[in-house]
Amino acid sequence: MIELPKGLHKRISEALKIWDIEDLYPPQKEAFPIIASGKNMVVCVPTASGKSLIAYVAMLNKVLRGGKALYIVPLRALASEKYSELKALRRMGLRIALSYGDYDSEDANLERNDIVIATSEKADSLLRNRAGWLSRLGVIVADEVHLMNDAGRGPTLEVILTRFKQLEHPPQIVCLSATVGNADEVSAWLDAKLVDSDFRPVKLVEGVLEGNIVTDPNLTTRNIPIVTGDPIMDLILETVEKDNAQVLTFVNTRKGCETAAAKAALTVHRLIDKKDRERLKDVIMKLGSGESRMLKRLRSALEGGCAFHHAGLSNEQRGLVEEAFRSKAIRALYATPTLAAGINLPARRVVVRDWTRYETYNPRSPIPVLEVKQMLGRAGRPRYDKEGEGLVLARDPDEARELLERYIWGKNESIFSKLGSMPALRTHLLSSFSTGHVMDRKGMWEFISSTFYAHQNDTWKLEGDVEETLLFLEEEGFIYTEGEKIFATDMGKRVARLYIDPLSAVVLKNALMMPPDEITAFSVLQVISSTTDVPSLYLKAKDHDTLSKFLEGRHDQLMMDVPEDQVDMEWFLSSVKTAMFFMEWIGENGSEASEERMEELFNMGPGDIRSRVEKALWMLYAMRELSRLLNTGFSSYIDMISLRVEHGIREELIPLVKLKGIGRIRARKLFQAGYRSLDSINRATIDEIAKVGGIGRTLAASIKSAAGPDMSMMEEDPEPEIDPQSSLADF
Amino acid sequence: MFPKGTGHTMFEITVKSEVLRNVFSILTPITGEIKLVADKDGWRVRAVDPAHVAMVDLELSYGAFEDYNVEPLELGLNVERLLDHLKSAKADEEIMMKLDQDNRMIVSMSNLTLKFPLVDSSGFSDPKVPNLSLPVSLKLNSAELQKGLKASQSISDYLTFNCTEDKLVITSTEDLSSMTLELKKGSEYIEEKFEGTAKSSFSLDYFSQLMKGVGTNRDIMLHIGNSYPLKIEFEFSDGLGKVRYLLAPRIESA
Repeated sequence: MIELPKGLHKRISEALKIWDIEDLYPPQKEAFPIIASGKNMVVCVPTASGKSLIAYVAMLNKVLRGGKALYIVPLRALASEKYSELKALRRMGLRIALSYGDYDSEDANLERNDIVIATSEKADSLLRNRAGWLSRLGVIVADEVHLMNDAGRGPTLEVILTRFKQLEHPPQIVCLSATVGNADEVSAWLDAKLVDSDFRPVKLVEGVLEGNIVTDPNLTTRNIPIVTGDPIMDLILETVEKDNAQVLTFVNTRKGCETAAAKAALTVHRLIDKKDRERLKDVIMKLGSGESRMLKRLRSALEGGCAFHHAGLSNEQRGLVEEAFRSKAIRALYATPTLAAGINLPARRVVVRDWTRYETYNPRSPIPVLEVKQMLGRAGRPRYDKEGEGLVLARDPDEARELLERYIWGKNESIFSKLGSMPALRTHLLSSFSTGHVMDRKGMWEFISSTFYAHQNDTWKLEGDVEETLLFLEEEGFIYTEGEKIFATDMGKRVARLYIDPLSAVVLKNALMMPPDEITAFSVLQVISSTTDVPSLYLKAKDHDTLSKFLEGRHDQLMMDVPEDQVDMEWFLSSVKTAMFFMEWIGENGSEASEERMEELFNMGPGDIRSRVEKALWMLYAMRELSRLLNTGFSSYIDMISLRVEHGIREELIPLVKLKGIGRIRARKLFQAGYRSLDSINRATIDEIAKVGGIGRTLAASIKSAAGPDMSMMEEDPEPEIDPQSSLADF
Repeated sequence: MFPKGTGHTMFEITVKSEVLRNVFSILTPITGEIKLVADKDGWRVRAVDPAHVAMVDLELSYGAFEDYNVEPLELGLNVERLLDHLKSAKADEEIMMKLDQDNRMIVSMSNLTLKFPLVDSSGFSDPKVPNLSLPVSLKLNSAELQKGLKASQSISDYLTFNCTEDKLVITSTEDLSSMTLELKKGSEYIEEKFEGTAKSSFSLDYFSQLMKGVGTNRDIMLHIGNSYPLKIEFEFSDGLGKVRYLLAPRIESA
């Protein structure tokens, strides 16, 4: 029985029982009394050292007393992982919810929940749309707070924390962080107690791998038996044969992951026993029959007990790989570093193969210590391993020495606020005006001086940029000023609620004011592709001719002027290329491009397509909303394009994809078989429909019965599984 | 919606705290906010959870009240909150509920008085109760089920009920672990109706929630079909309250 410190709610022991926790780790013992005291807290401990439990207990301590809790995580994948752990608390009568989805929607039932898990973007948009609910929070937990250092997403997190800090009755703020150089600075900013510990439940030995020699921090060395001569390969063989364990290798490019995994499979192959071979076969079968290069490589890697994991895989494919690795059917996994920041997938040994990566300012830019340590920290499986080993690969003895100094003995970097950048300033200042959080210059500077930026820098450095931002927002009609007072216009408020960069809003607005002679899918897709919120495709030298030819005869479809300037022209052309990508996807050039074709044309896997599609959908939605506000009459056309992009289809398939279980591929098959409307499906028998390829009897029955009007729910996957849970409305 | 404008509608009741607690703890597993339909015969509440997986249909006769003075009306109530407040009351303590001029609900118990606005019930849909004809009906004590429920919680996300001629087998399986609870006709349950075997699966989460509403020691009637909703019926407060729970099954595609 765990003894809880005074001031923690008694029923927390019930929760510990649900999670099977019998003992507390030292950082947890240190953190619990702070939770009980109600003070803010920053927790810096290595990954997999019981950070989550600290967060959960902090939330329980409030919600069991009737308060509400918000849990902010950086990634959707993490949100789902936390959700599945917290779900167990429903047994204690608590309501847990995941909140993601449209940024400007108001989840009707949100306030019924005790704990809401949200990404930082969603939490920020809740702040803009639902300030009332957030003011009733008893505690907020921010996970992976060191990401404040990230130029893209850091400012959002920083602004959320600042807002809460500024409330008249601020909630308890609990921040979880990887080890950083300036944890004390972060905790001073939040007026928080600091729990800073390097405790790990499984011992981690870090080191450098060079040739067949492993050197640990004390310069003790150990030799790996040479079999193939490739250091990582030999390490894998040793780990699999001698320890019956697994190796996770981080490689900095996707292609690198794929080639390495396929190659390793040729050697690891002979060590896979019959039982695992069966399990792997099962995984291969579940992967489906796609013929893309990526899938072919994944299949051949899996046949040899190896695999790769990167963002090009679809959610489903990634899930399959993760599951197979957890069950140990996969012995060697090659992953891009995003895996280290996301899901928890530990292995006995971890190797960081590449310690540099491409940055525009330096093609061989060293990866920060913080990130390498996070990758190495994935070594050692709790409950299974006594010890994990995390190694950085060196090419020669000199490099080995350098890596020991930089990564093994080196100290983690400090984190720095990125709020000073122009995109961050214009987005977050507009949002403060639009929520009424800030109403005049004085309030604005009070807000700015409560940020982590101001804690680290003198605010006068920002003055010029802030003035420029205010000028921009006013010129574009997002705000207006009356003396010292500053207000958001209706347009400004809408833009803030839409959660888009004000600069993107300007692009959309200008385009809508410049209607083309003939509006086409290209017109709309080119506009959204030229906003900063939709990442453009990389322009290759040979693309120039193709794109210029493509543009010929399409000028009267454009909703913006073709730039004269060389640099702007590059930007413009890449937006055209991105538009072409979406046009292939929605079959604008004849038929919907298959995943294989998308890979061939644009070198993108299903995961990449999904993430681009989601961003495009959001921008299309924003364009539609602005179109409504400006009364331009394009709303329904944009809606139609949006449906097509969502599903990757030509217009004629729209009625069919509204059926649950029918994605672009099945819809096309139904269409080809002559089912061109819901009506024709209603008239057919189940057996007739089931004859169409890829549609079994179960699905045929379900689509036939699904004749209700509201089936246009957004689905995560293009071909969603049918949820086994039925609804009472079905009976 | 309650009528607005011309004065307020009469709603004034006195009831033993135990009765109210029963009502609210039967409703809260399904939803936190309800629409209460009251008339001279008593109360009626029908509610579904947001996903339309579970439903409750509750009736409470005016006879269960110590004092009952109600004109027909519909009220939106946050039952979760009410239940919380009731926790401090003793079982036989009398609770008075009353609607004041401004359509606020006043709840008084001994020396404590609470006032709060009604929940806007205009958005609450009236759930349609599916018409079910289920082949199997069994009478048993809820304690028999609680046993299996507890055991399966660490095993899987769902439960399968399989009723054959002389026994009801409840299983929960995932990977290599499983839980099997066997209830025999005549010893653990009494057969009321058997028109053929019945087999359905249900979400464990939802089922546990319903069982929370049922309580640990209550005689219930359990109705099962084939991949069909489950129905649990029971009475409370000396038969003056009647409850029907429905739970939609999980249907595995072939």
